[in-house]
Amino acid sequence: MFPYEAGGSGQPDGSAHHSKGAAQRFREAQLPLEKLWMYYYGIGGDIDEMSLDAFLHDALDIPAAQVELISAAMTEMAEGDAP
Amino acid sequence: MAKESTLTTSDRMQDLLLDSPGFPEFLLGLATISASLLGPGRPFSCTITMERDGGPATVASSSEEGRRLDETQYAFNDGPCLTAVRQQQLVRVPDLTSDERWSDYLKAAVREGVRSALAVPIAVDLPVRASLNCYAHTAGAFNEETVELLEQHAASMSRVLRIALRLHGAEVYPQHLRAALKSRAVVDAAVSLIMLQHRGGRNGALEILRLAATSSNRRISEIASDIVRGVRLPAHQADGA
Repeated sequence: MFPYEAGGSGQPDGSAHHSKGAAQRFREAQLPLEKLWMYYYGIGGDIDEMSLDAFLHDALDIPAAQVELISAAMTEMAEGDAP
Repeated sequence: MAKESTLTTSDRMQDLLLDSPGFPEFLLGLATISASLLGPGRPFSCTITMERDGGPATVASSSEEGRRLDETQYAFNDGPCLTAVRQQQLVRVPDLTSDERWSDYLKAAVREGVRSALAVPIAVDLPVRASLNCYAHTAGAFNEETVELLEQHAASMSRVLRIALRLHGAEVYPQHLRAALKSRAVVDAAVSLIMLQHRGGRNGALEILRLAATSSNRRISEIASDIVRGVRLPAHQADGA
């Protein structure tokens, strides 16, 4: 279910794990920020694109629920294109 | 599906975004929703004015009268709405017959039967500027309460208008944006239903959706679509287990 989650803590609900994981996964996926934001917006995400950018560069803390949605967006995008 | 009567203004604006074939239709719909917000049977016209830096303006009006009033301002290249758009400031004209500002334009508007006007800036991304303009046939039609209502409305329009500009502007991924909009509409509807069912907050509802998707190896938008169509989540998923 989390294809990029390799060698992690095995604790999918740990927010710190996800926060670090999301930024790393974003870099590895070579995904345009704009595409990720749009997908994340589509599944109910609430933070704006600039804040998402800051979060992905470890420059901003965002609520745990948003971190989870960003993770979910990357997972779903890795599985196929359209939401 | 949600009943028509329970649709909020923001739901209506989102539907409008999905259903409008083009930007002019969307803007026209926004003007109409704005006019309906002021109450039926009241002699109001609402228009939305948009300017790009140095570029042509777009005007959408809930009535033919409103369109003429806006276009007259362009003829004078000045007026309350153009001031609101260009300076991004709220402009209130309680009585057109006694207002000293924009006197040429106001005289023309009075001849059209307008007695008071209000223009509220709508925040969008530069180089676009926009405002919501309302005209009334009576003096002092815009009291504190109405001004507050329209300011709130302009704030909620800001978001949907930004998205519309992306959708209809030079968008890099238009098909993704369209897909995201459709998905978002379904997710929001499902979130509303889950919140009602659980008397819970939005984040909790999103979490329920996400966990249900993860545990069944499906997409969040698919789960949301199930919920909107009336499929109940299994209890262990709904409890977040």
